Amino acid sequence: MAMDTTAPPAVDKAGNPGGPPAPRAERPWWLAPNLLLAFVGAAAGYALGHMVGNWIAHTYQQVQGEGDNNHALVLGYLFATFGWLAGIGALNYPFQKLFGYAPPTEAEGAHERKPTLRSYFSYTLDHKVVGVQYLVGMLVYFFVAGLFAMAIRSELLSPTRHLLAPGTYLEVVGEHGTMMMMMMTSVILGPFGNYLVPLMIGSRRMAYPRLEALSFWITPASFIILLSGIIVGGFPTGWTGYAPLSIEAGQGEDAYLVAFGLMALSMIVGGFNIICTVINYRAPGMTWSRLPIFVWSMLVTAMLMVLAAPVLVAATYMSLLDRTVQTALFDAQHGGSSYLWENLFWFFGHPEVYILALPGFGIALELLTVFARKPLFGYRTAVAGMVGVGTLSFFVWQHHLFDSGMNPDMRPVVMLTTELISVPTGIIYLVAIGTLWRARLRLAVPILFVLGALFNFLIGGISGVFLSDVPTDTVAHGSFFVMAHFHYTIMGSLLFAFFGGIYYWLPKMTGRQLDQRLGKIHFWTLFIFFNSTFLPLFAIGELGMPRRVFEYEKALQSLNDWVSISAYLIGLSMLIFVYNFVKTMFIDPRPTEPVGNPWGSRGLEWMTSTPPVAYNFAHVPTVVSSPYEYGTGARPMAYIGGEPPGVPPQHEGVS
Amino acid sequence: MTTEAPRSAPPDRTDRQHMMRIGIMWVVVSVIGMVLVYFVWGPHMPPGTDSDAARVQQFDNRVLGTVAVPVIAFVWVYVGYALTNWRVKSSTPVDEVGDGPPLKGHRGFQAAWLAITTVTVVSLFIFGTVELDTNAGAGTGSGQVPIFTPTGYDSNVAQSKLLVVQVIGQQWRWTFRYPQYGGLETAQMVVPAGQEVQYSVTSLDVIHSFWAVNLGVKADANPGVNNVAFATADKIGSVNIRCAELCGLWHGAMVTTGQVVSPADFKTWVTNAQATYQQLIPFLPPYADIYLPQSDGGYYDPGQDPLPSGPPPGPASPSAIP
Amino acid sequence: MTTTAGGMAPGEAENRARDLSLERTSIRGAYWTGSRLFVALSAMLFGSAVFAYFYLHSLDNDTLWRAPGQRESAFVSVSVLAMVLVGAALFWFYTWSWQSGRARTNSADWRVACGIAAVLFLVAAITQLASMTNTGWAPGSSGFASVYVATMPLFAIYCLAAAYWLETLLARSLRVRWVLSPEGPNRDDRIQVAFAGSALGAKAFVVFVGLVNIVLFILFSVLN
Repeated sequence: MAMDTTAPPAVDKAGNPGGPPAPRAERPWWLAPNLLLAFVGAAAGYALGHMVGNWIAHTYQQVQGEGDNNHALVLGYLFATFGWLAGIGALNYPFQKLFGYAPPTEAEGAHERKPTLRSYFSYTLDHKVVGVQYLVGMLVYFFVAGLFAMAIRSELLSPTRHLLAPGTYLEVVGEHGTMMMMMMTSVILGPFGNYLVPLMIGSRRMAYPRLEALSFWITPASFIILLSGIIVGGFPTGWTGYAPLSIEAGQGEDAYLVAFGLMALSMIVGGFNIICTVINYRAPGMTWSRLPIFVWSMLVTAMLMVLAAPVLVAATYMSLLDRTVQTALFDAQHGGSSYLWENLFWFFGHPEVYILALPGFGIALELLTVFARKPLFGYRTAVAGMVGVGTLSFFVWQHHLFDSGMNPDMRPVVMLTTELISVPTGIIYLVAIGTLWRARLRLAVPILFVLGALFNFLIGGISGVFLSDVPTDTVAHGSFFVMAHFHYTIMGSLLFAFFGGIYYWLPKMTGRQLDQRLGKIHFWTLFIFFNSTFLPLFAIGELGMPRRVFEYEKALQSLNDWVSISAYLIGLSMLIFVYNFVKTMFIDPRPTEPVGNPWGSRGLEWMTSTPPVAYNFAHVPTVVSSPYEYGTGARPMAYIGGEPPGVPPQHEGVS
Repeated sequence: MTTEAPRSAPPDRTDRQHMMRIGIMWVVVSVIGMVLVYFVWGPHMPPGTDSDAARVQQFDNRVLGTVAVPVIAFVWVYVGYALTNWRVKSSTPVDEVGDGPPLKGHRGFQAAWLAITTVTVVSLFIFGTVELDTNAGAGTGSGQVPIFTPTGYDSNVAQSKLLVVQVIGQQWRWTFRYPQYGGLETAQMVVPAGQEVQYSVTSLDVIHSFWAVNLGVKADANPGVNNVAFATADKIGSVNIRCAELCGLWHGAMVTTGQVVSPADFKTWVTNAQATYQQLIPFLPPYADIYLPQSDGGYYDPGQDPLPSGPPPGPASPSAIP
Repeated sequence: MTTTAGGMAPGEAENRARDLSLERTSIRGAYWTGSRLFVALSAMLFGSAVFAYFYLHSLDNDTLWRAPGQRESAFVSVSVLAMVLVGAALFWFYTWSWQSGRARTNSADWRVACGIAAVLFLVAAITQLASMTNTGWAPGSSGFASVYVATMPLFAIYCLAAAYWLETLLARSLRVRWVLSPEGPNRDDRIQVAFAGSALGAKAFVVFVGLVNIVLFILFSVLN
């Protein structure tokens, strides 16, 4: 928190300032919050919640009739989360606050302190540690969810069921879809947003570091709860959780709802912190028109998270109420409506799609300037494009419901807004194309991934036009076409950009550079097999194969087998990355000299030491030029500390 | 596009020359691609031509596919050109790469881009709306009160001149009800060729989606909702019917095959079916737009759409068949 | 602010002072942004509930939007509304007069007002939750009943949040007494800046909670 040496004066009992601050007693390790305590807290919380739920509901008719006590399970999950957060230490300060204690201040010399191994497993206020925690967490979530995808493709090798029972198949589909959709919302904002935003805007801290840490520590709880749904029978609703089915589903549905709701909470607090930081913690001279485009994308993404995720919280909460206290919000025979869930879910769900797309655009444009060695083409247009995408995304959700029979009069309007959104999205391509003009383009690994992302997103975006037109959507809706479409936009664009970001920023974060040759192999295999997996799926969908089925027409078997084999090869390609990552990070000897700025970037994040010190910069930097002034002969982007001699004075808070 | 001094490109072409080369390649690729997509691929695009709705959808697929060609071609040609012409060996040390021309934007290019994309998408919107309007919803589920309707439609089944087929989704079966034939309910869908059919889709439990793949009909089956779609089948043959919305355990197996038959065969079939199920019909709940199970074991009856008392209107005369 | 001068590089003291001054501006801004953002996201949350209300009302599925005789207890709804509005007004007024300096209020006044407001919010939440256990109708008996049962606990949680926020302000002002003094020796200290920012944020937040309560009162007790 604090970074100055002038700690606030300690106060005596009477409240008179004066006297040196009393040193805080160091607690023994087994009393200090840690991961072990978090697990103990979670287990105790679960047991307690389950007991309370049983005590409340054991006499209820629906509990006795079905033997499923959803009350106990939901309370168990919620108390377990509470216990988990208490054990990791997230509740200490909120509790101390009740008694008026000020946050502990940092000791002298904290600036030079390096994070220890233990701090990576604790609730920490260092945004760079949180970024690394997120990075590792996201990779774990991604690979686990990816394994489920392998299982799905194995089942679809044959047109009849041969490997998984129908119920198991739906569990696997649901786990894969939900895990990817909810966890990957933070796949870039979590690691790179948290790590890089303060570095890029020249701040020494985040605005709300406790919320930031909280946003990470909710994700393991959410992940474990979602996985644990399998133990109680999984959930049959896929990631969309459509209502009457979700109300009648077994106990696994509770896991889905609680986990998704928790993840929405994590999105809200994480996005909240990013917004407050970007608005208020920019260094002097970091005007809105000098803000790196990646930070803009994080800002818009965070805005979408903060405004859309509350609706998901409300939706999952309502669904849980329908399942436990027997309200009838989604039950048409008691005055509810299944449309209510569809509306609420997609009102979150469509902004979510752009929560997943925008960070990819941000990384793509950010990296493109560095490797093209040119200024960003049409900076203001690019920003307008991102803000436009973000704004429009709140007005298109009903295109998921074209065939639902809801509001048929609204369809032309939604068709218009949906098609209009391709204008701001097209701007991203305008900017990329302008930036590539007469570039000095180096095809290093990160830029390969960026070009791959642009290639894939083009296909994803064009296929999206088919989904926005009502007559063509009638064929594609609910089929593998939709599934291929969003895998192109999310996996093809977001995750390609994510890997590009890893190859690009890992040297900054760790001082180690991933093996570039393996990186190229990783890229080319991933790119080829990704396209060979998902391109045929467009055809499969148009030819009549709905999503989430385990049976399909025999005529589609050869295409499906091709897809499955390609999907396995994607898995192999990912193993190359895992090997490269593990080898570089854990097996190779520490490089004698950390890799400084291997890409020759002008960015502010490269102007501090590698890896950055605890408070990023010795002093708040003064920004004097844009990060993209390649070839203009501009001065370096910033000076660390106050204004250097000869520089016109800059004023704080400029915009 | 503004800088004339080529600091980088070894074959030193001017901006204009680069633009010309890219432009020519783009036009050539686009024209070839558009012709191929529209004329060669187009007639074979899904969902085929088995009904009027399917034909509309196929036509839209063709048009959108054709429009997509120049967009894709522009990006591919441009990026391909950039990669071959403006690339520096990736082994070049960072500080020897040098910078590209400091081009920060180009007002005309940006304005033209925005104008072209906006005009394109607005045209697509107009196209889509016209297609929806002139084709009675183009086979999509259009809700309880459809605004795009064919002639002869009446929300009251008794007055409707269309053949009404009520599609009832339930876990994990489709059943079909023919209100104009005494509320007959069967497990097999049979419709006559050449007659506009109104599919009234509803559900008894969770959300399903009625997808008659080659007829180009897709409409969600919601509990408590009557979702109407229209289509005229014109080819005699079978219909592939699937459920397109996840509805639980056996969603993947909620498949059936319907039949499109000649009007004469339809008459025969319906007479036979009525005879077969005659004794069962009285046990069915009275025909209604929607069926909401009530706690007393019966069904909620909103008191609409009484069964027509006179003789059924029957399919159109055989002369209506193309 | 004093800095120890021993052994610093030239310009170091100035740089540290600059960092600190920048941080104060940032803290102030972050509380402003944060409280408004919190209000905005809470509005989305309650917006979902209000949407559910009007959506189910307009659909009136199975003519069961509202079963006959389903009303919120007037005693509960009016007393909760009164408590929330009085609490919000008290806190708003005393924080305003403390901050603006126009009406000179002493610190004890502010503390008492803050404490009373916190207690009012707490009691309002408890009253609301307690009344939910005895509504006289089943949660699933109609659309209205469902929306009511879903919305009111959310509102009670927000009352609890307001009570918590005000309590932490009160506790901080009691433990670190000088945070309330307008021109004390530590006017520029970060703790005071954060306290003032938090108090102003809470001022906006209680107004929001009051507005939400008015909207909910209209929805559940006034409209038919």
